[in-house]
Amino acid sequence: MGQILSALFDVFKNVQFYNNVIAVTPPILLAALGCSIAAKANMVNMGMEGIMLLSSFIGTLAAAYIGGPNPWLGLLVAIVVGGVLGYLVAFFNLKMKVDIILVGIAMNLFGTGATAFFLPLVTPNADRSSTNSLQSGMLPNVNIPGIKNIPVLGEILQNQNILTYISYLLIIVMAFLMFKTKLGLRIRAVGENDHAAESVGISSDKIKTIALIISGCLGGIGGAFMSSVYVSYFANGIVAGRGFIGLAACSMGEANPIPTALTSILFGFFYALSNFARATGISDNLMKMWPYLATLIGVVLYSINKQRKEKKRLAGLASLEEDTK
Amino acid sequence: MKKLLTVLLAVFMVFALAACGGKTEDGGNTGGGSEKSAMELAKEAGKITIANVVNGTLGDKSFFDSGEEAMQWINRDYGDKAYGQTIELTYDTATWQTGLEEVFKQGWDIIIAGTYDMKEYIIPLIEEYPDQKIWFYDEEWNFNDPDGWQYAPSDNLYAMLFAQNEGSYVAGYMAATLSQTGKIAFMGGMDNSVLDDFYVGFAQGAKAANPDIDVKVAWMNSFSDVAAGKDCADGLYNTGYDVVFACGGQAGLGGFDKVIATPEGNYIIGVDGDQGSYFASLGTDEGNAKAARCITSMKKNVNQGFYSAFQMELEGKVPYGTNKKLGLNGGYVSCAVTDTTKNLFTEDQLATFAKVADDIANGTTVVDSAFNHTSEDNWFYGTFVPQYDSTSGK
Repeated sequence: MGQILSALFDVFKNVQFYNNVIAVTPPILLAALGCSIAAKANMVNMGMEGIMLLSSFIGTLAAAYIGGPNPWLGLLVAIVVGGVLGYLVAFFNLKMKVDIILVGIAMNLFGTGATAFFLPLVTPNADRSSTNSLQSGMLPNVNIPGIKNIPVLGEILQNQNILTYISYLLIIVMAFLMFKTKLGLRIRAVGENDHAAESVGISSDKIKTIALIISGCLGGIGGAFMSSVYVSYFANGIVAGRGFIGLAACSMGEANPIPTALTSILFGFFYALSNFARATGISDNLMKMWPYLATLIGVVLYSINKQRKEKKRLAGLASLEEDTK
Repeated sequence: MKKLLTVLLAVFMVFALAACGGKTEDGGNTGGGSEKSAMELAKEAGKITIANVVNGTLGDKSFFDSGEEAMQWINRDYGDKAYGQTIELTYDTATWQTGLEEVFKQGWDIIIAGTYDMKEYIIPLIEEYPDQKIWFYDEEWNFNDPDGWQYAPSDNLYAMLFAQNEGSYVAGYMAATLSQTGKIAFMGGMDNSVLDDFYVGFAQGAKAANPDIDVKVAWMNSFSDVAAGKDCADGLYNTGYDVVFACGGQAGLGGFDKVIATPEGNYIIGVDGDQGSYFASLGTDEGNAKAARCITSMKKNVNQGFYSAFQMELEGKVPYGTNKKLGLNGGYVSCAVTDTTKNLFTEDQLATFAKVADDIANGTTVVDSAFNHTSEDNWFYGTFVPQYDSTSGK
């Protein structure tokens, strides 16, 4: 036991570990933020996984074929593709009246199917597993001056990929958007009660569509992260469930940006721990289980608390009724 | 406008289904068509027809492609006597049962299938077609005890077991020779008996080269998630494991992305196909960088296995009803020697590796196998794989 603890302690002393936490979180974080803005408008963006996959794929192709290795263009295209797919989700749900969960599932199936189908058609060697033979480049790591001098955190935060920094900045941007702007207020109003919102002249369909487009754009960034920061190519199934983990993080954080982001970081933390804590000898399967166990416990505690509050409120109401009699 | 978009949605969904379900019709025979398939023509001409059923798609740069190569060799060298064709079932497990059934109905002389995943799909079909000749690779069968584990309900089954432990032994020997830190790692896809077998051989070989070496096993829990492979390798390289055996299909390729982002002195070992040469053949800077860090690849020469089985078939000597181990002897598994290998090791070292391989091939060295283990492993401490201990030999 002492051995395990000292090995764990070694991991926690290792700066590389924290670096890894910072580096592995963004795709989950972006998916979670994307899901959260949709969730605020009372839309479940189930199709996040498929959106990420498709935007990653098309982004990689754009980066490779338009002007040689051009990852920035790839990122831009991925965002646009994500936005368009977000719009499609909104369109099918709001205009065509398809159940939003079904649209999401269709999007995910379409994502895996279409990328696998087109991959050999668009790569020079007819590759079926990845675009290794294409050069789509990677986004650069950057050194932000001054960040190095921050005590303790400096070493962890320095020299990350530029998109990693952008991802974390987006937490603040999203929080600002949701709580400090007119659009955010409208999104929340529509999410709470769209009839009430419509009665004061807000078009709920329009607001929901905007929310899903933003959601898709965030998914697009997440997709681009996979294929231009993580690795330098697109591979079949590269997103590997990160969209769904994002969806989980979003519901755990109740679709509020800061708690959602913290949950994503928690997932990232344990994911990185499972990779770094091998010296401790603890099973990595066990390690990867923690965040889900934590989620489960969190949800149980949360609903117990909620029930207690509800009971209290009912009791209060009852006594109020007594009083008025 | 609305109609157009409805059509669009329909196309969208059809696409999803079509692309997922895809290529089962590649089997050539689409049923009631009046035109004869190549296989039917071959059968009429009295040729031996061979269907190589892959539970995935070609283009994996290893296993399945290698099997397809064997089909090409057979068609090239024995085109007058035989006809071989690869049938892709795609990675969509939902189509495997019907796809396989279709192949059995078509009446091929020999059906080749393999991997652990396919077993549950093929067993009912073997029962239904007990006379069908089947070559099954990469899984051990029990031919004697009907109540026992993994009973093969037919004697017309020939099981090819590629001795990954033997090839991995040599890879482990090379890794331990190269390692500066005295710590090397095995990065497997998922914890199953075949991958355990890789690990056991790898660890034993490493201990043979350097008894003090620390061999760590790490599971990526995926065969497709390249990012998981990269993160897994990140953890290993950053905790001092300087040679990593990336043994997990596409996921393992993520290890190659990590190793080029780490300082000089960290290396990687490929698997199944010659991955170092593959990356070098891409001709990109990144490909070359990856090739330069890939000390060797533990190749499973599925093509050799099929080809020699076919030659035995011609002579009527295929040992149906047995498990046959195909190892270093005969070149069914081997460690690739690339330019990188030649740069990193001296002539003497390369000669030693060749000797190590020869000793296994002629039976002087016996390599332990995960299939023989009655697992004394500790669940909590990391893995189901028995931790190899050089002193007790187990």
